[in-house]
Amino acid sequence: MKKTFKLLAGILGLISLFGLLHQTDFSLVQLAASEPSAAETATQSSINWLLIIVSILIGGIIVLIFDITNLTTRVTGKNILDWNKLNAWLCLVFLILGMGAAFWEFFYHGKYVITEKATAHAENMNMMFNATLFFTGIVFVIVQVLLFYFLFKYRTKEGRKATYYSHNNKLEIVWTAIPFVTMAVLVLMGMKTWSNITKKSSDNPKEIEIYAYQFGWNARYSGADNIFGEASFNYISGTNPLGLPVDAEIDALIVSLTKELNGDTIEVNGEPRIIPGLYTQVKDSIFNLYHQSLLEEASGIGLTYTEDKRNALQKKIESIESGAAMADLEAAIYRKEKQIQRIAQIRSAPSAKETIFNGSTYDDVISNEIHLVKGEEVIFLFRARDVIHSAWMPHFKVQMNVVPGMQTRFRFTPIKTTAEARVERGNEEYDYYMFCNKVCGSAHYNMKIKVVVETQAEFDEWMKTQKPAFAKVNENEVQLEEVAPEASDSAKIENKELALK
Amino acid sequence: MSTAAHADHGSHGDHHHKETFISKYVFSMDHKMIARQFLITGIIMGCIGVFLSVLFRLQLAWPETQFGILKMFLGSFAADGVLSPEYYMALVTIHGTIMVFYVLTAGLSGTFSNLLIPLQCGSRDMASPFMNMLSYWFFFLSSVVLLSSFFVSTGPASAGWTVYPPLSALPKAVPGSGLGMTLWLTAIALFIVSALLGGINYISTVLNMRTKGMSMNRLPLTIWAFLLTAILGLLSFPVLLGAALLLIFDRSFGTSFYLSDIWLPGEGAYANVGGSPILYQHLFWFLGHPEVYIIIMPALGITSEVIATNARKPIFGYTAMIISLIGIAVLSFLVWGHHMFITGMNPFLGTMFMFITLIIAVPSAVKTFNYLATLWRGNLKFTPGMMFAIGLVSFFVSGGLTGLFLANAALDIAMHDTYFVVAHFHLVMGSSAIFGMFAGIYHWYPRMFGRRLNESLGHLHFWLTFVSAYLVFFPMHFMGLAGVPRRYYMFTVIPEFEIWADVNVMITIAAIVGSVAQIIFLWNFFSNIFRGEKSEQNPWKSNTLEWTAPLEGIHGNWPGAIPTVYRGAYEYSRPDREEDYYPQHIPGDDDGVYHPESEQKATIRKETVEVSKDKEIVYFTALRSIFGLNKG
Ligand code: HEM
Ligand SMILES: [Cu+2]
Ligand SMILES: [Cu+2]
Repeated sequence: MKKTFKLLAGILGLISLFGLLHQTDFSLVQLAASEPSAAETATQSSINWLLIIVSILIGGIIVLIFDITNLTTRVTGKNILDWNKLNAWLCLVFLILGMGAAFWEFFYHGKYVITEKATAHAENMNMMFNATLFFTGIVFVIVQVLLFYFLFKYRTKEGRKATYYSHNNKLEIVWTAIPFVTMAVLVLMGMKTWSNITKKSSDNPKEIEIYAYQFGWNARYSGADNIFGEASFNYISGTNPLGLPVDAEIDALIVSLTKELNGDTIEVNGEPRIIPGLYTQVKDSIFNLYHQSLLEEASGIGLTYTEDKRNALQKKIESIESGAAMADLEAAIYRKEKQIQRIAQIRSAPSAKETIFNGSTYDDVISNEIHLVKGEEVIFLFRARDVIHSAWMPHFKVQMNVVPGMQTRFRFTPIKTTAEARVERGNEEYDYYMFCNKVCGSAHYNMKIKVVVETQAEFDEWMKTQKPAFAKVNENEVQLEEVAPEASDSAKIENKELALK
Repeated sequence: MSTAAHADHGSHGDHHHKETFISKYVFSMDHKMIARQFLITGIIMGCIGVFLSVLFRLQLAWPETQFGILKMFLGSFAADGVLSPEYYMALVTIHGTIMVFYVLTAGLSGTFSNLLIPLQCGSRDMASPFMNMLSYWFFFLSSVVLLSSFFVSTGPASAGWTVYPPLSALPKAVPGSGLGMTLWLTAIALFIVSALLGGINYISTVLNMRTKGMSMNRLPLTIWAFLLTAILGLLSFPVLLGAALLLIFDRSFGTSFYLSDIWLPGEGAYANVGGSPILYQHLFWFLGHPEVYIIIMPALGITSEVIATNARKPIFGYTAMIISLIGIAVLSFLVWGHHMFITGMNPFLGTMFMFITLIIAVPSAVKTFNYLATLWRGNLKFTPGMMFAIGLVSFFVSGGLTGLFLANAALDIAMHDTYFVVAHFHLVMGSSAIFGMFAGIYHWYPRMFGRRLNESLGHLHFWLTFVSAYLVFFPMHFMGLAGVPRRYYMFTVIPEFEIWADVNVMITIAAIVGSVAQIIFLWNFFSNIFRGEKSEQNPWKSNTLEWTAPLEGIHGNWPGAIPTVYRGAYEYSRPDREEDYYPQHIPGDDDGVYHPESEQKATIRKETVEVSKDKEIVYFTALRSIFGLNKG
């Protein structure tokens, strides 16, 4: 009994500890919406602590009761709680309640399961799903029922001896063969469904490029000429977010890259002011950077100088001292030089003018919504800007990863318009969406784009409202601009030499 | 632990230098102590993993609510008591990593392989006690490194436990991919070293150090499971190490194994070209899929042992069980692609992976049916260990069956990365392996600590955990089928998913109840190390050798000679015996196999098994010729 006392003392000790904590004004749950007054907070926190203490007390008492039963068993040698019997009955209860709950769940939440036929291949997949559900459902029920029934039936009893039964090869072959045959059926059906979805289409489906980035999507339509052209991450800039091969844009990009490297002179209040480029920054060595950041921050010191600012400055100085700042600078230089090089290389290819920079992308339409035509087969061409995303349209049973550096595709045919879906749901506002389903960073959970399925007429109407991505420039201009990259290229080399000296 | 007095009574004639506290409890080379070290570290990691899951479940249930507790533990990562999205993912990532590697690989397989391989095979210790010690300490170091990432200002790794690049390679894409990710990779590299050191040891001990008479066909199924697990680990972990190294190169030395065509705001176009993010996924899942079997096979082995012992029946179809394990082990190397059906790989590859994956269900089904047949007409003793083993079977069935949906490439299009997957793997791998681990702990606690656990608390622990695990994971199937993606920080921004708000609350409450129930276990476990009732020598009346060695755990395991083995591990309730068990080491007057046709006792004792008409013997002989004769 000594031990029981110890236990009691321990629990009392815990309670008093929590009592002490209770004095501190610490609340477990605060509702954001209703900013409670100090008094309210206090009562709320005491309610919280009361709850905690009561639940711990109850827990402790339960533990105590079980502990005592064990002790008495030890002392008297008799079982107060016959766990064999109790467990057998609990198994039976669990079987009945559990199965009941599973079926309730199946019918209650089962109605949210998407069985909608919004695409042509959904029918096929639903059938496959039902077939699998049929087989697995049977096995689930049989095995769980047998398991818990056996537990109930064969619980130990006075004088009972188990049947010595170590194997039965025939039986084992049978229950190897049955799953095998079932699996064969599932495999065959699965292969058929899979190849139906993935096989190449006979006729030319309409292509739409789906572009994914942290944290959003774009759809690109190839415009009147039906040609997408070769977009590339090399050409991405603020005004050309999808990196389309547009000469004017690329020239501007190269100019700005070169300026970033070499520095620039801008006019402030009518006076020229030099913005140091990356090369200069590296050359200026650590001390200048150090100095510069100190000066920068010092101008902010005064009344507005805050803890946060101090920390930021501290961080900056640390990164300079540890060499991280320098490494970052060098990495930036390397990145930008490489980018300029790669662009030059692509442009200097003999047929680049005809195959890539032929202006075919100028009339492309870039949209913040995906518009599809009911009954028209479409193939999504996926492109990612930064990390892997996944295009997930649950109602269409469409999902495909979007991988940087690798084009993936998905072909399907939508067969239900948004309007029809709205009627079906009785919800005038309902819209289909494409979500991101591969974790891609902080706003992953909110990366979505509206998907509109409509009739051909509606689609044409919508397309008319869309502007081409870039206005076609006249031949002369294109000609003129083409000289620019070479100039900046040589300038770059010059500057590099300077930097080296 | 009262073993100090007996520590140097081992009479196997070795030199016995005096044991200090350090050499006995810290840098111990005794497999039983190392097992305890693995177990306790695993339990601590498990508590952390569960705690993390409660923290992020709070966010999923009450996304806009402020929790003082979050602020208290996470500080600026949960300013105002609301978890930030980056930190939500960090918690999920570390939760997954801890559970998969630290609890269910090291904590489960490390503990029980160490404890049981020498004791059940009948050897004095592991083949290399020193490597064994290193294995633990690499694991310990790895745990410390992983946990230290919580103290990094940019937070721990947050790209999911699979750490797919480019996300995991670009600190500018997500803050967790900075120092936190470096620490994650370091931790995993250390972990792999630990797993390999352990694995080599387990394999060589099982193959070379069995006692006289312990042929492969008399090995307990636990040992078979540990052996195959170690082989799986030895073949697959190096691949993960390779994948991790290449990722380290990409992150730190500017190579482009996994990176290409990347543009980030503020950074511009990256210099990396020509790499493939998908390559990483192939390498990762080449380990990743065997890894799930590395997790579940030891649990299945433990279950076989616990169920047979407590059903007082031979495990049904011993040979079939081994063949299934081997089948699972071999096939598990050929199915990794089922995690990648929608990465844009060639549809034909998808077909092959679907085919092999569905076939792997057959040996799994055989194992389940054999468990049922073992229970049939048994004399079931419901010890807590037995209850947890049964829980494993139930979870294994529920979770395994949903695998048949996911294995189907076509269906996977609509299920990949949804909550259906979360439900599937938490049941078949998470819950069921955790239950296997609990079964092992309750069953072998007397063997580890010489004392008994409180039985009633054990049952209470079982029922609370069992019911709450189903409540947590069963509804997730339906969320997944309704299109709810996993790894989402909240569902309230998408109107369509709002219907799940109350289900999310229910799940979180069930998760909290289940987590709090673990306190019962912790109390039971830790308090009884010191105050528990002393256990008798063979508390479950088991056949296997570990119960013949003194429970106080002497160095070298057996004071005298190692017992000789005369029969298989599962001769329970033999009709020709009065008692319902027949320990392996009791000299018997037969060839170790019960022949019902000759009820009378045979007189010749044979060392080797002869080929008889019995088909089972043919399998045995085949196995023996593969694995060689036992050298004793
Ligand atoms: C207290 C019990 C547990 C609860 C409540 C729980 C809950 C969850 C939830 C809700 C997620 C998904 C989060 C998301 O996708 O946003 C998750 C992820 C995960 N859990 Fe658990 N879990 C528990 C135990 C376990 C166990 C025992 C394992 C062992 C296998 C495990 C392994 C994982 C893994 C591997 C992930 C995936 C992490 C990722 O997405 O990177 N969990 N857990
Ligand atoms: Cu995403
Ligand atoms: Cu897998």
